[in-house]
Amino acid sequence: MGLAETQKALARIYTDSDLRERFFADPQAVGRQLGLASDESARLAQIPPQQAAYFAASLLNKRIHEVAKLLPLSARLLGQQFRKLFREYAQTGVPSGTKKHTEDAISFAAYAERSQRLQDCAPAWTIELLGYESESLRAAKPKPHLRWRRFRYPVHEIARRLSQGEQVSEQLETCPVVLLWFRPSRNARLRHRVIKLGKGKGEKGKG
Amino acid sequence: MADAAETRSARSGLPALGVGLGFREPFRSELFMHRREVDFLEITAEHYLDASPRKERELELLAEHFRLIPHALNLSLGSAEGLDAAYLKKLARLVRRLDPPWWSEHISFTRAGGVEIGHLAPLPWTREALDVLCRNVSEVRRHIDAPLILENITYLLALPGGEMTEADFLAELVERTGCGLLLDITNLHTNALNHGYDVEEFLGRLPLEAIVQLHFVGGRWDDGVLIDSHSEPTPTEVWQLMERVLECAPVRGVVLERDENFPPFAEILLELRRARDAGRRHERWA
Repeated sequence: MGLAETQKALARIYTDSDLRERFFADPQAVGRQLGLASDESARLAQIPPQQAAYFAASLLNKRIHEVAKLLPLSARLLGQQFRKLFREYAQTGVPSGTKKHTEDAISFAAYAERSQRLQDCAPAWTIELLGYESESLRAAKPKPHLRWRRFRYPVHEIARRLSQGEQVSEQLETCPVVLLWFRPSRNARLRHRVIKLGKGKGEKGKG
Repeated sequence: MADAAETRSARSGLPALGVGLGFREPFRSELFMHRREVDFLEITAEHYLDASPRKERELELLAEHFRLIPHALNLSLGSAEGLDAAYLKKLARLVRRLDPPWWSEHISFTRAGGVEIGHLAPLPWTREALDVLCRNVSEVRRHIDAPLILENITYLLALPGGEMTEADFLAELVERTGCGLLLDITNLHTNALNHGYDVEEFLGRLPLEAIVQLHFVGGRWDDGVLIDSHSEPTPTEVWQLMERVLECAPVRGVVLERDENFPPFAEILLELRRARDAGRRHERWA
């Protein structure tokens, strides 16, 4: 066994909280599953578990920080809920590649949109805002493309107001729209169109 | 492809760049308003490897006004399984395009067994890890001619089984590869506090003549641990370290690396001026 096997095991220990706990509870058994020799398992078991957990937490916080920069309005609106949901989502895997933060943000948004807990505690339009920010990230890709998505709320308008520091009521009436993003050629600017599907009734109350 | 001796010799011919700043989008407009106070920019290479048209335009704009030094985060030079060929190819393309006097990467590993760790993970201070680094640096040289300088990282955990000190590890790495050092003096200060070692002793074991560039910034404390958060003004101890290193090492450039909790740009400029003055005092740049 050499450094390559050790690094494979460390990468798992750093990024998988369940495996990390199991490793420090029984280094030899879990080390064998990870392909480590007995002496290597014993050596890695000398890492103080709290140091490993602290490093792992710093990795996760870094991921959250990067994703929050890419989904800024949702991160701001959802606050601690955003972080809590991300920690749940992070158990599903780690992103890779040069676009890993963008991929992470898109995957997280999809996870959060499906979350029953979020649906139970957050206004419906905040969940749609996650979808809007996520679609905007997908649409930013440099290749020519056309994307569209139907929303029950005018999320582009909500995003504009939030970006300008305005308050938005939690009790918004639905006002369906289809948003289109398209880039006609690689170096062309991304363009947007909004198709209103119904007449909006405005806000029900103050936020 | 240059060998270690040629690389070592080329190090002495590197230009003195002066005072630089790690480029971050939030202060782009102020940066251009004060561009005479920033001698060069360090750019995060990963941001421009599969760049969107907007990032491509940004890179072109930056290159028109500043000398750019690519700083890579995810080449994973310490990976025993070898380098990611596709990533290296993209990085090589970027470095060739910018034609910098040098570029930099970290002494760490960031991926193994198909798992991307997400940040810089420490290596054990062992002969095997040194062999891996030397092999990977040699592979990098087959693709990138511009000189590579290697940066020390902070680590929240120290891996057991070390066969030498970190300083001896860096010294041997520099000797065997001929690469220069990007000494992150904030990382040095942070590790010294978190792991209880003596900075003077550390510096005493380093080949100071190999230091090409410095990084500096401030971190924050979290429950008794100093975090390399790049979020605070540079602390007094790091300024003292900068003076100490500038006095005895042929430093060609220093870079302020602020990533979070951005202050008004005037505060960034104050730190750059202070670094410029320190370099001038030790005749490292004009």
